[in-house]
Amino acid sequence: MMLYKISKNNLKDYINYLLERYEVWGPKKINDDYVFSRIENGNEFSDVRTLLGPKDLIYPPQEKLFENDFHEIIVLGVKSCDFRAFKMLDDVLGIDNNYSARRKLVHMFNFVCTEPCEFGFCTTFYGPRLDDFEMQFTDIGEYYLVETNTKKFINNLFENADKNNLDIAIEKSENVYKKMKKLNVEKLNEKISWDNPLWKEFSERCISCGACNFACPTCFCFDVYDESERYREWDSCILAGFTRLAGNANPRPTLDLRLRQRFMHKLKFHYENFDYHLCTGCGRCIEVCPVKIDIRDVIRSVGP
Amino acid sequence: METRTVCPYCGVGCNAIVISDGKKVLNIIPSKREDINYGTLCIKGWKGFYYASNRKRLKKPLKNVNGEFKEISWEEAIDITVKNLKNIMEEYGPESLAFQSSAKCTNEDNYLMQKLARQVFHTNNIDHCARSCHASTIEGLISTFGSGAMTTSIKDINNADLYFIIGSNTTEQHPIIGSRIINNVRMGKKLIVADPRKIQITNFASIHLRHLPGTDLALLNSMAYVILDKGLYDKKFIEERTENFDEFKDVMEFYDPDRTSRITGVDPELIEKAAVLYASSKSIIFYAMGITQHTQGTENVQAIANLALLTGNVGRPGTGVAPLRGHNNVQGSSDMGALCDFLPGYRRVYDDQGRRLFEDAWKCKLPPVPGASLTEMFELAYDGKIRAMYIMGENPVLSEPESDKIKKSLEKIEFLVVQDIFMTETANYADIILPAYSFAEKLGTFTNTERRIQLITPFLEPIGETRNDWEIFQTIANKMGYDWHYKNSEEIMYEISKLVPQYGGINYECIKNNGIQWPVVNCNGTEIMHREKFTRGKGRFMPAYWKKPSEFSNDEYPFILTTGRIYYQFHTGTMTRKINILEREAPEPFVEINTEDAKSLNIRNGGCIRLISRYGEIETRARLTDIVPKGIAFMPFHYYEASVNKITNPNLDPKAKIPELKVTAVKLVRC
Repeated sequence: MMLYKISKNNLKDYINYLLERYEVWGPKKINDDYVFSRIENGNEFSDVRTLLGPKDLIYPPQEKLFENDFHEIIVLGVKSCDFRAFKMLDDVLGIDNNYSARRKLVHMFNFVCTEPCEFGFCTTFYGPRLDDFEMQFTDIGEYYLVETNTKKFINNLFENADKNNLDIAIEKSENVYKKMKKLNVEKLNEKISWDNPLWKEFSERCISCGACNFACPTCFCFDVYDESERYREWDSCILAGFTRLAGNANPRPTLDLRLRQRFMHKLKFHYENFDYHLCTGCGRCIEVCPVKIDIRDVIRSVGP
Repeated sequence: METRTVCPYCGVGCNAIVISDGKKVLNIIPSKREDINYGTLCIKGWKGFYYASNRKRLKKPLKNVNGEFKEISWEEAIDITVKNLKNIMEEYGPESLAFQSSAKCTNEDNYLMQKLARQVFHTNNIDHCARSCHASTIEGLISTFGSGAMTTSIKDINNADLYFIIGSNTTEQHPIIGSRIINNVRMGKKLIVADPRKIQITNFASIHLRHLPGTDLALLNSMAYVILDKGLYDKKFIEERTENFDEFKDVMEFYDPDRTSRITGVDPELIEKAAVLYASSKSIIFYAMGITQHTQGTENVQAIANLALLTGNVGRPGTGVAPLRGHNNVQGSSDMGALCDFLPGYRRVYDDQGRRLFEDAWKCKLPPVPGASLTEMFELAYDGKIRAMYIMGENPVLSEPESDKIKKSLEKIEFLVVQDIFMTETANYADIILPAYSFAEKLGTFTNTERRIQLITPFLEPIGETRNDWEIFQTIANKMGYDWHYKNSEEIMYEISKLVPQYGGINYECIKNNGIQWPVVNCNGTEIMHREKFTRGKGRFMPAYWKKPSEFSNDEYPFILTTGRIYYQFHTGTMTRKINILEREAPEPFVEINTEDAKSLNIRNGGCIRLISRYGEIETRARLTDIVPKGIAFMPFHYYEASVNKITNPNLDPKAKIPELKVTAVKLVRC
């Protein structure tokens, strides 16, 4: 592990340095919204948590299959929850050509949160500080501390950092652990109930927009369709067509059953297959839900 | 490249940021703006923008050569169009031409199309789909309040204590407004829903009134009766701010809940409870096609306005009347005067003063009598009186009632121009098809259901030889000898801002951030209308007696068919049916019938069923459900495979000329 620091004043120049060599993406301000978009100039970057993570840069919402040109890009300002999610996607989509090709070429630099976000509960799972990353940035005041195992992206704008700087970074991220309540997920897979009354309750207000899936950094399901060429696009397990079979038979005919599937998959089935919950606690599904269906309610419903 | 835009589907006007590479959409991200969609979108927003780069987009002008469409140059297409329109106008008079504008297009497009019709072709035969959705709102709210639009804002929903939804499937048709209502109800606010169908939002209703289709007026009048009877009305408000109260009281006397119950099928106690709850809360009424698409559509809307006047529930935060508009820009296209009876800014064509303003601005004489409405246009075409038609971005073959007759009318028309982004069921009848930009390629403005004028900026490069709708009109006007020389859409908006008082003085600079709600003065908008006084001065009570719908169930046609949209599809499906996920969710037509009715008709779920009305018959699949009550069938109108408008009721509201699409008497048989 190598420790560096870069002055915040130099971040803009660093991005311009990257821009001479790579395509760079990161959070940009559009009116009052922040979205991951292509950065043309170092000034455009904001270290802000966006509504959606950058999943689309490795796994696009819609893509044409069989003819793709992949190129190296750098994504700045990735939040650790979104970064960690790719490790999970790797277990499922790692064998997919397009996914794995992009995964190798897209460099994600995660920026550690030092304040909790409104809907997040990442401390329940991995928290804002990761041990496995490409370039991890933490705001330590006038500087960003940068932890990395590669010199590939280091230039003369970086200074060496020491253990003191690291301690500050750890302490800054501890702030999130202190303020964000950790939920109990021990034996959640065993305790979560098939007959939880929440499924029915959620179904009364769910408007089947699919936002929870589309905003989720760990959701990976897609649908394939042909329109003279072959495409695939993000799918949603909340939709009836997701499981509809020939002749209109459907193993999950009602919305409550589909909502149950979504939570059961994240909190039980995936855990039992892979030893981890398919959730990073990013809270995006709650934020983008028009009727505020809350996965934390499901976790809490099994008891303290 | 990232571009903020406005969703092109319903009238909520959700904002989204589109990431694109100029050729295609890469990602769609909801805007977090609190006043509209607070970081959310419905499935049409998440998935529905991709049609813009669909390979079926029209790319070149087409000419119908003996039933086959051949690609031609723009020059030829415009020449043929101008020559034919001109010849027909000169030979048979301007009233032999008709124009259909589009609620999917921008304000600038709509303004220029009606200007083309009126200034260049001297006719008021210009109309669009607002006729079949909220024409009755325009009449109904102008006569009572003075302005035919939502009185309050979407954000203001949070300030109300009670929501009364009548004739609106809010979670399916205006999902983000429906969601906002649900979120408020979950925080303790109250909800009344009046709808024959057990729609999703009734899950949150304290009171669900399941009245028979076509009995809305009786129901609303009866609520007024209860409020009057129990003295729950706002005497001060009525005295200071309204007129015609005495006449209103007299008419309402007829509607005691017991008697009304026999008309509506609603328990009198429920009517009473709903009335008391409404009158004793800070309330907003939401309504949509369930109110407007009736022969008494105007009276229905007036009855809603009456309730608001009676209880003082208008003109202050957390109150109001909210017609929910069904297209992204149907408010704007109406504001722009793409209507046969109104000039831009809702000046009646027969109002000399208003007309003179435009005659001076456009340096021409304008016809002082209303033109043919959308539905009447086809009638006149059928009779050979309208000989040429110019349709922009509409598909009346699927969207208008009694569609067999519409098809015959289109066959009879000597010259039909269709300007669209895709081939449609209507374009099949065209002589010339002109390929236009979609919203993805346009700079312009849409006005949402809360009167917010919002800027859209292009995020895709133009496809093929497509052109901007307004530029096509300009080319035609120039060929006709009119010196239009708008360099861009902002110059059109400049003209609008001078002539349409609601849009007074706006420009793209002042609306580019968050849009502005009209009426606008010096770039300051109006969130809540009718605050100190009504637009018309005093609020006017407009009472009316309930009449039976133009059709009702009888021995021969024992069921009432009602029509509408479903969540995953939009209107005639021109856009949504090209979106994989949306089409997958709702791939085929169906009719909802009550499980018990199905039993007695011996129809199984998914089985074939024939619907027969006085106007025709169609076959489709039955969907057995308890969403619809006994005696009522519901069918969406999105599908050409079984176009329900083949059999719907074409009878019109005499004032608003809106067809009674919500009530058609039908016979159901197993096939």
